[in-house]
Parts: sequence; C-alpha cells; structure tokens
Amino acid sequence: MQVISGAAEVLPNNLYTKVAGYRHQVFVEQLGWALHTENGMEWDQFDRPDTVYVVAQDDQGHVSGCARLLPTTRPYLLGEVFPQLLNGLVPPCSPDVWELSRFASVDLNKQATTSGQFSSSVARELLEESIACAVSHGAKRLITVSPIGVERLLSRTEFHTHRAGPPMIIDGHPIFACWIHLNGIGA
Amino acid sequence: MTVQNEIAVRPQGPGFMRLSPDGYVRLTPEQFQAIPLVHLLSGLDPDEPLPLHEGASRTDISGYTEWVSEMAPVITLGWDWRMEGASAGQARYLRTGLPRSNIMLVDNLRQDLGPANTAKLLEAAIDKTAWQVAVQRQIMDRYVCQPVKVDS
Repeated sequence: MQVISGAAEVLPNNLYTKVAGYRHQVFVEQLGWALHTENGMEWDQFDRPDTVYVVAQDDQGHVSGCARLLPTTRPYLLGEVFPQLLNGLVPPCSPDVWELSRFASVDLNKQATTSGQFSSSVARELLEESIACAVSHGAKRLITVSPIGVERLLSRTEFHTHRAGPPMIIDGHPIFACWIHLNGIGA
Repeated sequence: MTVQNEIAVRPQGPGFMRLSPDGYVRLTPEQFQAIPLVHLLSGLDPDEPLPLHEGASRTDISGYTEWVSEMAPVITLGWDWRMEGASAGQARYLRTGLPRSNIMLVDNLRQDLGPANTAKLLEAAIDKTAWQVAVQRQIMDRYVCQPVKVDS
C-alpha cells in the first residue's frame, strides 16, 4: 500500500477523479449517505482547490482509502453544517485546527471480507498518514465529524482523542464531533 | 430514568460544570455522580442482523449505547456492549472496551486526572448502574417489535 497526499491539482494520474468515484462507492452506495453525486462521483462544496486529500492505493493503483483535510480558517463541514455538535462552543477558526472528514478505508477489491467504512489493515495507516499530513500543514488539533465507527477507531489508537459534544442522530445512527490532539507529534 | 431521542439543551446547569475551550466538560468524580444521565440511543452494530427467533440463540451480537445529561453543558457518555447467553429471553449485556465521552474528571484542586484515570472512573460508575434495562428495551423496540405488513 502507498499513501499520497496533496491538493487535487497535484495528485498524479487523475487520482482525484478516482477518489471521487471511490467516495461514491463507499459513502453513497454502501453507506447510503444522502450526498451530492454526479456521474458516479461524490463531492461537495468543501472540495476546493485548497482542500488536502490523503489517498491510499493498493499495489495495483486502486484507491483503498481516502481522507479529506480542511483548514478551519475557511468554510468546513463541521462549522457550516454541524456546529451543534460542539456543545455550544464556537466552531474553531484557527491555523492550528484542521478538520478531518470523508475518512474511509475499505478495500473495494476485497469486498468479500470487508464491509462498511473500514478495513482494519488500511485504516490505522491511513489515519496516521492523515495526521502526519495535518501536522505538516501546521495543525495542532484535528476536529472530525464522525460516525461511531470512526470514533471507535480513534479510541483504539494512542492518539489523545475525545468527543466535542453529544451526538446528532441521523437516520437512527449517532454522529459525533471528535477532537484529536496532536501535541508533540512531528516535533 | 427517561428515554429520549433529542437533547433539550437548557441554560447553564450546575455552576460547577464548565465547558472548556478544548471541548472537555470538567468536574470532579463526586460532581459527576450527582448528575443524572438519560438514555439517548442504543443500537446494534452493522451486519449483526437481528434478533432472535424462538429456539434460536446467538452469542455474537454487539452494539453501542449513548447517554446524556439534560443540562448544559451537555455531558455525553457512550460505550460498547456485547450480548451474552441470548436465548430464551436470558440475554445479558456486558460492557466492552473503554467508555467514550467529553468528560475530564478533575481533583479537588481542579487538576485534570487525565484521560486514562477518567476512563477508569467512568467505567466504575457505569458498572454500578442498571444500564442494561434501557438498552434491552430499546433493542427490542428498534429491531424486534416491528409492525408486520400484511398484503391485502
């Protein structure tokens, strides 16, 4: 597996288009999320030229995981769509805080053994690379909007993570805002 | 104990609860014990279909449960569970793993006890309650007692 990160325009070999298609397969087709789609691809208003993507690929070049990083100094998912997940705190707007979203690590070429949003073999490495990428952009904390599966993943790592507030219930399932503290990482 | 699906956030609750800029609600273990938590939601993990027909039993059913306080700043506390001995109505719900929350417990000098100690104390508090009753009730309501459509 290899992991590449960067803005859409610097990702090689039409990789951003492959990521958009992968996101469609995972979030829309498998998880049933009501997201904007077009021609089998998924994107929203937070997929911008300054958005940073972290992409995992298998040995054949197929996308096996993705994550999206956004600075909180510009519009981001939690601040614009889910501020109520912060328990009354004002959404952060700081170069020290980045948002992690659209995190998935399903190897679609091994669907017989995986389901949902994660393959455990990819998830941890993708998370670590995403955090390293965020740190390289100056992040000291990450905020995520996560279903329970991501929260469980975070709680099993050595990273200092905790909830930002009570969950929203969407289609019968809880989603949370979670903080990931990055102090000392990459120092 | 009440079951609710929406959080009614009211103006500031007990004065000792503070929502810190880092997102934690800080309070002592004694103060935490004094706050009633209500059941918000419980559910089964995906790909763990359902329930039990008479005479059948499964021992690999797992899920989650979520509890909240009713005063602002809201405390959120959740944990995973697994079902054991699920046959003939004798299911037991066992907590698995560490709880997840926005709580940081502090000592009497308002110093953080830290994530690990907080988790241990929250575990102990959870294990003293009869949370399984609410979980079982919701699992039955959500997944078992569904209306049956009959073609006319």
